[in-house]
Amino acid sequence: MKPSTVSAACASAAIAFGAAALVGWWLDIDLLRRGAPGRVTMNPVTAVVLIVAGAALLLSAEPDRPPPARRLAQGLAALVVLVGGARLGAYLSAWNVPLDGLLFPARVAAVGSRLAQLAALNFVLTGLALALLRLEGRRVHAVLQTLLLGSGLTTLAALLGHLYGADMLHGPMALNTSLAFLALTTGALFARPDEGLVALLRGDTPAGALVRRLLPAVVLIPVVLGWLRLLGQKAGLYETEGGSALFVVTTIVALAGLTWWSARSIERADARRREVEGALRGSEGRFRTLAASANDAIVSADAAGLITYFNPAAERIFEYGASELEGRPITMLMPDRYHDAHLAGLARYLATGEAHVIGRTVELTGRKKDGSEFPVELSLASWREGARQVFTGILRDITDRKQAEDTLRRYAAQLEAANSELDAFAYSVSHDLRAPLRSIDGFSRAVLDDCGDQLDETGRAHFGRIRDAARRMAGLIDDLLNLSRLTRAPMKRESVSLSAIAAAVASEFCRSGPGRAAEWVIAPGLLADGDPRLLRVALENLLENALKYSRSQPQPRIEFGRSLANGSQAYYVRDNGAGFDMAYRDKLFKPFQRLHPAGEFEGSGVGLATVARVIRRHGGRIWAEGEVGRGATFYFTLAPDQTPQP
Amino acid sequence: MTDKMILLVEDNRDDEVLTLRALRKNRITNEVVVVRDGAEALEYLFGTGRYEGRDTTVMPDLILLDLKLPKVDGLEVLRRLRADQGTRSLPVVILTSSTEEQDVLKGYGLGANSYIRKPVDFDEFTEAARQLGVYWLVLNQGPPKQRGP
Repeated sequence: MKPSTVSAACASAAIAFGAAALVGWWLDIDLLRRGAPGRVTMNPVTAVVLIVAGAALLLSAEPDRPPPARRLAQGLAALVVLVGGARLGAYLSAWNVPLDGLLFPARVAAVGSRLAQLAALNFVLTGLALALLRLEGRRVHAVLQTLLLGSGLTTLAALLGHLYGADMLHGPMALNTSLAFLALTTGALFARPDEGLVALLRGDTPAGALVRRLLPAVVLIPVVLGWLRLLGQKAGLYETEGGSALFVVTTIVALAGLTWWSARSIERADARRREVEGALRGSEGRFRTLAASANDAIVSADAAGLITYFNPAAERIFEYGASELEGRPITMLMPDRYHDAHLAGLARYLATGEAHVIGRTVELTGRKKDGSEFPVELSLASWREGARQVFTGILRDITDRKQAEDTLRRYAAQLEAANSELDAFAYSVSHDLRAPLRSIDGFSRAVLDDCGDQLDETGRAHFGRIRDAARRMAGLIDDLLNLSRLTRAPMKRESVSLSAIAAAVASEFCRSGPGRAAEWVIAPGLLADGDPRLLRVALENLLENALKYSRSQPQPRIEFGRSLANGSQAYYVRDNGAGFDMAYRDKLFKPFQRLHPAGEFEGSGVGLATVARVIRRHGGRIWAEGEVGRGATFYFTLAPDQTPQP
Repeated sequence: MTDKMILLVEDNRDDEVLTLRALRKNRITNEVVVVRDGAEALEYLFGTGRYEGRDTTVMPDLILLDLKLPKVDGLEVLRRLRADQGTRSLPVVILTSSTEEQDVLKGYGLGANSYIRKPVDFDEFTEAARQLGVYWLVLNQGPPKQRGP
């Protein structure tokens, strides 16, 4: 429930009490005048003033009423004070102001109703409080709390009088009057919910919880015990002395119990708090240790851009001494030219919450104490600690990484240059090395054509050898060029069916003749990740090789498949042909190395070198096993070997 | 076939002799004008420099163009030919040593009519020359002769 609603409800209750009594006087209904059977009546003047006070409170219940309403409320409150003051003054000076009989004089005289002194005192207290209710200031607050405490205690005393049947201070304050004052005092307290007792009651603090629990008990326990004691005494169970002792003992026991219970609950709350504090200290300690041992600089700053925390790495990286960073602007860690952008970004984030750097990792330039600049990588985070916005950045000196990147870039450029030089070289080879060969062949032919009849058989044969040599060299040049092209062409990786390629190559060999005699055994469904064009070149060479060296067998057999070899899953091409001596296996994959004389098997010795290059470009390995006269098996993988992790 | 003229752009004397020999072997007796670099080829075709005053209404019926030439290379010659109204439609056959994919692509991109790699084997070269002659000088219907400026 809103405090202003409580306040308004209390005001309405006070008005209702007053109005009921007035109606009672007017219609001569005794119960309404007395509030309860056998009690004293509420004087009609009291009733009117209570209504006035209730109206003043009602007008002040909401904190922000327009000035006219506030002035009206203060005027009404002043009237209340005036009436109460007049009555009190009359008592003190024995000067009889005819207030009691001002309304319904005949009926008042008949009943002997009076405006009680306690009620007059309360009118002064609550009236003053109501007049001050909407004024501000520390002193107002103190005065207000004192006035309301006074009226509250007076009212409590009157109510206890009714409870215990005492006749206090020249005639009691009527029961309904007392209840009306209780309502007024409570309402006035709730009209300023943020201070004094109400603030404490409503507060979300351990103190608030304690007050909420203790206050009702502290008020009710003595009241109830006092009433029980009185009942016992009236029943003749004990005399005044015994009753007092009994009352004191029971009160002590009850309050001691209450105190013990409160202490327990405070202790529990405190234990919980200590536990949380311990956890917090642990977490804080963990953070400090981590931050202190971190290799990266960790720097915190507040919303004003001043450094609030830094770790040892920050001192080391930025080369500042221990006391030179705390409280200094964070901009001292960056070059001047970035200051404006930094400040603008900070202002924008604080104003709009729109973050450009926070939550990301960016590369920036840092500045050391001596002014030298270096590249840093920054991860920035921001959060609120209570009312403060905190920014914390983790900065890594990436000078080494930048240098490594530069070196890598330089190497890449060198490689690029080397490659393009190779391109130019290959172009030149293809063009210039072939031209003389054409001349050798062409003019040999010309000699044979033009003067062949002047040569003997041997001379003509020599020219034939010259022409063969020229043509062979042209073939070598072409093979070499193809090899270099394979190395330079960009490589892609996709899923490739090696089985399909092998089958296509085999059927091509069968179409063109030489493969027809062989038995081809190709394992189906072998897939690999690689460049389809390069892998086709590799398989072409391997299968052609196998076919070439098994040609002389009566029943050539060529296999393509996959198996476990040398500890890895490897593809293989196997033939039952001439084989080779394992002693020379290292030479197999070097360009222009041949293990068989040219007369026996044709070829330039580039084929296997080409295959090896393709395999190497895929990150794989190639090796061969064989025995002279018993065939050869070429194994290859297409990816780096999976070495088990330690 | 007799009145048709061939322009051979070739800097290598051996290749020049061999090309002429291959043509003669195939009884291609047409006039062959030989120029030895790209600049000379352009001067010949446009009647400038050393060929100042040449009757440019007389144009070759076939140009055999090497790519690797001193001064102005073959691709540049081709580009200039194709840029000029008077020489745009002359049949140009690139006859070269290179099989670099880039050269082939560029040659066709610039409007070469054919691209032939010179074989090292002279017998194969002779056969190529024969087919060239038959195709470009006999079978092929060239562009109509233009009236000179």
